[in-house]
Amino acid sequence: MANSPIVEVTNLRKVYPSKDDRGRRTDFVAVNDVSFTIEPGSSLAIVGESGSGKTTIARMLAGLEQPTSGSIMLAGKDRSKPERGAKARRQRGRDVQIVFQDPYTSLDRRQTVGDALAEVVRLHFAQDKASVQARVNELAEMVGLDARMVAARPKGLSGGQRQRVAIARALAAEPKVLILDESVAALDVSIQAQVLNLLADIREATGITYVLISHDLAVVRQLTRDAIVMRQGAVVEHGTTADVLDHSQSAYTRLLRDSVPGPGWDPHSIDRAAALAATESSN
Amino acid sequence: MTSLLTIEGLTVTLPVAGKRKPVLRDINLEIGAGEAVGLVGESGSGKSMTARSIGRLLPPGAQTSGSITFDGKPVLELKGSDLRSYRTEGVAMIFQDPRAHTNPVRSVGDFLTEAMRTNMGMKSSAADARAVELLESVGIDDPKRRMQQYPHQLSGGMLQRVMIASALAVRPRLILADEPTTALDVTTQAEVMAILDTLRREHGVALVFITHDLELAAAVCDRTDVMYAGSIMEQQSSDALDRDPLHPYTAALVQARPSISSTSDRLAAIPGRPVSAFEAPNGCAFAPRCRFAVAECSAGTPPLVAVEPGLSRCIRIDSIRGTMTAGEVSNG
Amino acid sequence: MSILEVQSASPEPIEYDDVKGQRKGLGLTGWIAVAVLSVMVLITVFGPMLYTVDPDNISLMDTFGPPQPGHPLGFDGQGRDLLARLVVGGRTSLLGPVIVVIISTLLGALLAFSAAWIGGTYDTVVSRFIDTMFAFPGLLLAIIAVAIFGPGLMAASIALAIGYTPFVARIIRSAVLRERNLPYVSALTVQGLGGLNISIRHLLPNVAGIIIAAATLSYGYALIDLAALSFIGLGVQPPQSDWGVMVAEGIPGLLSGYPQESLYAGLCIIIAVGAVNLLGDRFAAMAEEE
Repeated sequence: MANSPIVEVTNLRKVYPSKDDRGRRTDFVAVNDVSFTIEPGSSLAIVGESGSGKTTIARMLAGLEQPTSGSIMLAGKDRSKPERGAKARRQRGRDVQIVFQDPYTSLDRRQTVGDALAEVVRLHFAQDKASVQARVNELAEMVGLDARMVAARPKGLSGGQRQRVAIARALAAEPKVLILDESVAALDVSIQAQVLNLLADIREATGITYVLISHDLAVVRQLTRDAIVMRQGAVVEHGTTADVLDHSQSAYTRLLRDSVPGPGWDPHSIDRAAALAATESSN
Repeated sequence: MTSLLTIEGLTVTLPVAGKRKPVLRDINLEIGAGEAVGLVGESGSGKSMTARSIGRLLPPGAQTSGSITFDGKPVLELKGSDLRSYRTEGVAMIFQDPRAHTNPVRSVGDFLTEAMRTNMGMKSSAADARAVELLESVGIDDPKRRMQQYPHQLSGGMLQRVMIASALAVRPRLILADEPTTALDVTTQAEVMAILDTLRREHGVALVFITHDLELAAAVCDRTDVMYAGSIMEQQSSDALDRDPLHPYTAALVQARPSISSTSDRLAAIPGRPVSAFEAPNGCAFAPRCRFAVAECSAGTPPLVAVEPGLSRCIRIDSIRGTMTAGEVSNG
Repeated sequence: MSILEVQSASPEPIEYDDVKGQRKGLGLTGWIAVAVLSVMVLITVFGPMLYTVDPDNISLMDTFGPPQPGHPLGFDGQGRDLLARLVVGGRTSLLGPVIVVIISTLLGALLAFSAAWIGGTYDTVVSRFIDTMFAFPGLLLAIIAVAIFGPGLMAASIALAIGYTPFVARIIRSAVLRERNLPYVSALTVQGLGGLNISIRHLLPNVAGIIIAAATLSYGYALIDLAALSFIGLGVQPPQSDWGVMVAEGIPGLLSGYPQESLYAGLCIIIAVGAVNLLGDRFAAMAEEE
């Protein structure tokens, strides 16, 4: 019997009212009729450049932004709208959590790591001090933080270490889905590799589902099983990550792939205008 | 080939929390006219600081030893009008964030023509015409309209192209580009790199290209220097870097990067984290993280020596060369 | 160093921006300001116990008298000891502004936090309200209050506090908004931490530095405004001594060649306000360094 999807997004749309150059009211469609599903334990990459709508989707999934229309189902519950009230948000928080891109502003700079983690553990699980501490130590170990780091404030940690804290904080809620919004983009290459390995380890240990928002195709390849490619709010391609990258059906995806430097890369050979025109006409 | 820019034994120290600490150690570099050289490194590698040294943009309190020679002139000692002309006809700099380096209340046209009018003494009409020409050459359409616009009306990619145009406006002989495409979308990056490459070749301008992206540097530069902890660890021609790295750090960087064409079960991550020059231990700065390190590596700072066809700061390079990228990544 | 040591040793390699050599903490000027203010406060609080000359003792024989043993600063136009009057006057001059600061900071913080957190229409309304309050300078409100309630420190202080509230509120609101837009607040929202908890446990400690800086600078303004009120006769009433009152009372003496009273009282005001402003500047710089 097939598992029901852990994430089910249907006809999701987000429209922002705005003004055009002449001051007339117009509408900016950030997300245009997007649908996808994710099986439990699997992983989906949402790939795109700036203005593609990928971050808006992430925020709607996390409950930080209200969709204009469409539905979001998480773990079988209707999560189409952001919750009102802390208690309802907490319950959603047990289903989905998010790790942001910037390690420097993702943590309260006045809180020690231990306090930050304990705060979240206590929020979801009413426990005595000893149990909370034990859970904090467990989380720290899971993400590779030692006792010095747990006692430190963010100022005393490197970017990679801060991202580990952000991951631990997200995991403290024991979510079923973890949204990674460009979570490794700001890290040095050698640190990025460590964190990607960590994410793979966590997935193996907990069966968590990842939604990876990224512009970096190599990271997408490494971490995710499926992918959707977005451009200006619409999905231009979807499929397994391997298929999307190796046997792309969309000129835009091929453009993205061709734009990645590698051996023998010649930026002059990329015809961006042609690829974009081809994408327009096929949409 | 006579070299346009020569850096010899450059060491830079900065005051950090009251103490003087090194940020660059013994940098040696030679760039010929029209050549493109990449400086690649992670946090603390000193790549930006090297660019700033060349551009005479070091922070106050910095002390330097060693020399930088540009066209025979001692860069670090230039003053007054010599320094000004160095900054106009000599070296132009392009930064990572164009918005931070443009004045939001000046129009694009003003920005482009200012240096031309002030430093080159061009008349406004001539400067405007040349600015329009430059905007066209960097692929900006409707350049006359763009000249009237303000920075906030342009996207990041466009503004970066304007920066490139302004860098070329004063006809420099060398461009220092410090992560010029890092903040741009990948397709925009490709476009901007193509423009930079074309213009460089057309005008015969040399390029020092600073980036954290090894593949990007390797793709657009003739030679690449890999930096770590304030020193150059390896230098060689770009196409050989991943095939035949001359330093374990380069090899490790190449292997740590995920591949766009295949997945591996786990990436070959480098343990620990990148350090700055002042955090580096005695001996080879990379030794604590290096899987090929032996006791001698920590004995004294290894010198940068010629290892055909490039340079290497690894004392073991002769014995480990060719074995560093061993270990296949699994496809799947 | 072992690998683990390298990893744990110190945080991020310091990039250029951290290296500017900024003054850490209060710095020399900050501590000088603290010292000056502390000395002033100590003198006004404990002075009368040590220097027991009666500030209200009128002695018409000694009007404008020069300094003499037992009376180091001489006498004012009514033969009262100048030093004693300065010391006792300092109490109201230095204390009054505290009331102003406490009320305006509390009111301003309440308005600002609620506006920044709740956002939307509430924020718009509160912001417009704050903008209109700017149209009423504190001093003007204070004069109106005195006209209604009669002269005295209390009414004037409260009115002044209301006049200062928009200044403080605007500063706090933008600081809270900046903080609120940081990703960690979104992360805590997704975790399900309540708005009030986020405000008190996270936003408030992070903007506290800015609030303290704003409060300190308000204190300086309040000191001058209250002195001015007393100067024009609407604040502290003679014969009670107060630096502002003394500047006013010293004018006849000034015009006849005895500037001491106005001069010394004026100097006290200038020194106090100067020190407070220096301190406020240092607090503001420290808040930015974070």
